[in-house]
Amino acid sequence: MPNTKPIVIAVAKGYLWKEGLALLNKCGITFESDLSDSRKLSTTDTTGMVTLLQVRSTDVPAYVENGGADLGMVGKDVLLEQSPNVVEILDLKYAGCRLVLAGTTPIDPKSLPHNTRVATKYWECTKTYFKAFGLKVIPIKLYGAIELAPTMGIADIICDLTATGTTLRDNHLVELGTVFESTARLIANTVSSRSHYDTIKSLSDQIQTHL
Amino acid sequence: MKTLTPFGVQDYLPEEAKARNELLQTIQTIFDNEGFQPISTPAFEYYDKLKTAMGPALCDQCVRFFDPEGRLLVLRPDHTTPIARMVASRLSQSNLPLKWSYSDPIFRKSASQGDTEIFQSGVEIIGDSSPESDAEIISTCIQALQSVGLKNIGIDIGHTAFIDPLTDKQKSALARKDWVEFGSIPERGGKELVTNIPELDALASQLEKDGLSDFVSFNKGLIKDVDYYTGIFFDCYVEGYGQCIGSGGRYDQLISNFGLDAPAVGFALQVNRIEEALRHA
Repeated sequence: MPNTKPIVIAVAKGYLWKEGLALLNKCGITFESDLSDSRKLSTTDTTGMVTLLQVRSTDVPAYVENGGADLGMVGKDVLLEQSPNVVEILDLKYAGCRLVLAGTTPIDPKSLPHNTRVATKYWECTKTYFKAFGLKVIPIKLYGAIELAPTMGIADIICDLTATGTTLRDNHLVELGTVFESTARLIANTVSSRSHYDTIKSLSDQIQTHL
Repeated sequence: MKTLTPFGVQDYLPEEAKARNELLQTIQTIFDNEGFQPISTPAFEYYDKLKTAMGPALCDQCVRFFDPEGRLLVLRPDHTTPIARMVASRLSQSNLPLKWSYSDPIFRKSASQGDTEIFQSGVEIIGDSSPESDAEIISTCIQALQSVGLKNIGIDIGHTAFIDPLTDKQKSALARKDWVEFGSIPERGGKELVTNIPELDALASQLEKDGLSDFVSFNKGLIKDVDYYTGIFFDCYVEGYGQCIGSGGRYDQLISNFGLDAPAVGFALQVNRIEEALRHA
């Protein structure tokens, strides 16, 4: 099946957007606009072969799974939390971080009591982590400033992403354990992984030479 | 107050029912022309009679309930297993080969946004183990998809011979579609991939003869969530619609679970998804 329509890539905005764009540039795919100074949310490359969508990182899997985008660039953390039905093509190596447990005092997570309150954006991963050693925890679902929760007394510990540990230290929290390590991934829609197989394979091979 | 339906089922108002019936009739005409006879299996059966043949993956997804005597029943979980049961319990070797078609719903526990009642039309060739029967199934599938007006359809064909040499870790990575953990992008292509597997080579030649090569690709990374396939298995898709619209494969050991030794191959089209794909087109 020959393809003439551009291949659509949903890219998480923010840090992943800049890195993703830089990577595509290295592969010779350049865009007139990087969308930084406009309110537009999509841009097509100069040859008309690739369209980028700028979406929230947590929305990348939805665009890819439902065929709104053929490909996506998103953190492994988002994939682990959402378990979307997509194909994971390539480890892009950048945006390295860890999902960690942190609290005000050092303690082995396995020694925490039942009904420990855990503040997190990553509820599915937190649940899976504690389920593995049979500990029932109470979720405190937050969307930001997670590090405040123990200090303000609404949670006993937190489960959050950290790259350098600086934010944790600044908020007087110590790491208790690592849930997983994450880097950015190239993902594909299941059908696109077939209908655009050759394009995706050569793009992936090209990207790999620049990692 | 409106009376609600359970999650996973849907109503068909006259216009929708009319469109649905026309679609089914179009598909049925292809099946009829290809010499498949319509049959129908019961909407529910004894769970313990089907469970070994279904295998753990399908058992996990099926819908079970008790009859008034407390016996465990299962709503038709797929077509292939009840048809295998029906062939073995009603017929004998002297009746083979058979070419059957069906058009009925199956029932699966719904995933987060999936259907519980899934309407499927499909065919089975029972009692023929030749690559020509594999090709006939794939050709019938392509014709059925074309007949309803779908453009840019494709079929990816996998085979147990691709999967069997892999480690459990690799199989699990492919099942999760995690090519990072698998270690590479699985190979996918034409005839050149299957020259060392005689039955696939024969299938590829037959499809070439039938002028169908452009529709099919061999995919070494394809893996299915049912356990009974013994040879080829395949998925159909249409470009621009994000989900598979049908699947099938060869199951040479399944019917022997019910006491009759008969090879078989077939496919089922997901009618709900074909309707959706047509709306998206």
